[in-house]
This record gives sequence, structure tokens and C-alpha cells, in this order.
Amino acid sequence: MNEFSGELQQMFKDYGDFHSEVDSSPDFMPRLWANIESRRSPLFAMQRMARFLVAGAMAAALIMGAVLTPLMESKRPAGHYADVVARNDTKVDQEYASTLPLDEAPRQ
Amino acid sequence: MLIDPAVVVKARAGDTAAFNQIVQACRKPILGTIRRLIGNADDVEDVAQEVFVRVYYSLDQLRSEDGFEAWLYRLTVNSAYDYLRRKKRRQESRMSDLAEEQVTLAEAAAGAKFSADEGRKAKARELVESLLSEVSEQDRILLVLKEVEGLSLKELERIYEVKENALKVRLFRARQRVLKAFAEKDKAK
Repeated sequence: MNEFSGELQQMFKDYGDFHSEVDSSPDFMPRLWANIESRRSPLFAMQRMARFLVAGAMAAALIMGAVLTPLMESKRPAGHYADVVARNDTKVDQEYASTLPLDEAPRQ
Repeated sequence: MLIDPAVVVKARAGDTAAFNQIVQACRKPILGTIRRLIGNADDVEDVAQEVFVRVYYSLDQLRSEDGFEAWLYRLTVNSAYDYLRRKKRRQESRMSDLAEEQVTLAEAAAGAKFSADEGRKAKARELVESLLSEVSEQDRILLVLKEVEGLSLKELERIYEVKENALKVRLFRARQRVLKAFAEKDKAK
């Protein structure tokens, strides 16, 4: 048999005819609705959890913002960036220079 | 299995009576299709339950009410495929399936007057089931839809959402594998 025809095709058709009458049990619909509801519940629980997590994250961000902002403000150096760098450099230079012997002072 | 598109629209809008109407109308043909796709009578209802739960939760993804039947077939095929893969993973041996089939046949033979025609059909059923168990789940589903359900290539194209030529190639290969299995069985006789 080189082709999918004749006997083999008839056998497949008979196979279909044999299983043509299949019916469900009487509790098919109640079971179906129970299945639908059981899947709906975890879905709702996950949505509720997701909403709770989002609200929690927003509250935490607000609290952290309210607490940390004044703290960061107080530690922020006064003046512009260039002034602060210049002031720090001068301080470091003076400290560095004071450790050096006079005859080995850095060349200008 | 003709569903009024208006009923589908209502069901999509959350009308439970319309959804029940769809299930009532489609239940029997879907159960028959699943029976032929999975080849195991015990689990037909469980797979059908899965199909209709998927219908309920995916109705809003249906693009057009007119395509409902092809879409329902698609969900059925997907559920049957998932079942067959799970079954394979559980490594239920083919021998036990075959034994189950033989027991059913023996019971049928003992309990009824077995005419020659019935006997021929029972043998054909046994052989087809055994041939389908020799090929992959994909081949099995495609062959059942084409050769047993009698769907046209156009209908298969709508279910699989692939081009007709690609389907023809798949079908040709699936048939070749069944023919090979058939030839081997013939040789073993």
C-alpha cells in the first residue's frame, strides 16, 4: 500500500463512526460552573494581591520620600558645586603642603 | 453545530444564559471530537471541561463571531494536545492502553451478537487506534481532524492558522508515517 487511500481511509472513517455517539454525564454543567468559579477565585485573589502590593509600594515610596528628603537636605553642602570643590581642594592642598619639608616643596 | 453569532456576542458580554446555550449546543460534537482525538473514553469529559472553561475565559479574545466554530475547534485541539502531552509525560505505557482496548473489545464481543460487519469495524478501530499511537501527538491530531472528522483543508487552515501548502506538507508527512507504521504491522503479521 503506497497511498493513503482505500482500505486505510475506510478504516479511519469506521473509527470515526464508532465514536460518533459520546454524551456527557448529567453533572457536566454543574461541574463546568464549579471549574469556572474555582479558576476565577485564584485570579481574583492574585488581582487583589497585586493591587495591595502596588498600594503598599506607593505608600512606602511616599514615606521614604518624606523622611529621607529633609535628612538629605541637611547633609547637602552649601554653595555651588565649583565653590565647594575649590574650598575642599584648598583645604587638601594646605594639609598636604604642611607635611612636606621646606627644601622639597613642590616646584611652581 | 451551528451557533447564532448573536448568542456568541451575548456570551462575550457576560451573559451566562448565552454561554450555557453555547455549551449545550456544542457539547455533544465536542465530546465526540475529543474522544476521537485522545482515544481514551475515561478522560473525554475532563478534556471537554477544560475546553469550555477556556472558552469562558477567552471569549473576549475571539476576533469575529463568525469564526466561532473554527476557534472552538482550535481550543479543543489545543486542550486535546495538552492532554496527550501530559499523558505521554506520565509515561502511561502503550501496552496498558492496548490491553484496555482489548478488554473493551472482548467485553463487546461477549456481550453482544457480533455481526461480521461489527467485527470488521472493531478490528479497524483497534488497528487505527494502534496506528495513531505510533505517531506523534501533532500527527495524530491532524490525521484525526482530516481523515476521521473529515475536515477540509480550508477548515484546517482556519483552525491551525497556517497556509494551505504548509498543511499539505504536514499532512503528507503524517500520512507517510502512518503508512510506514501500517506496513510494519503488516510485515509483523
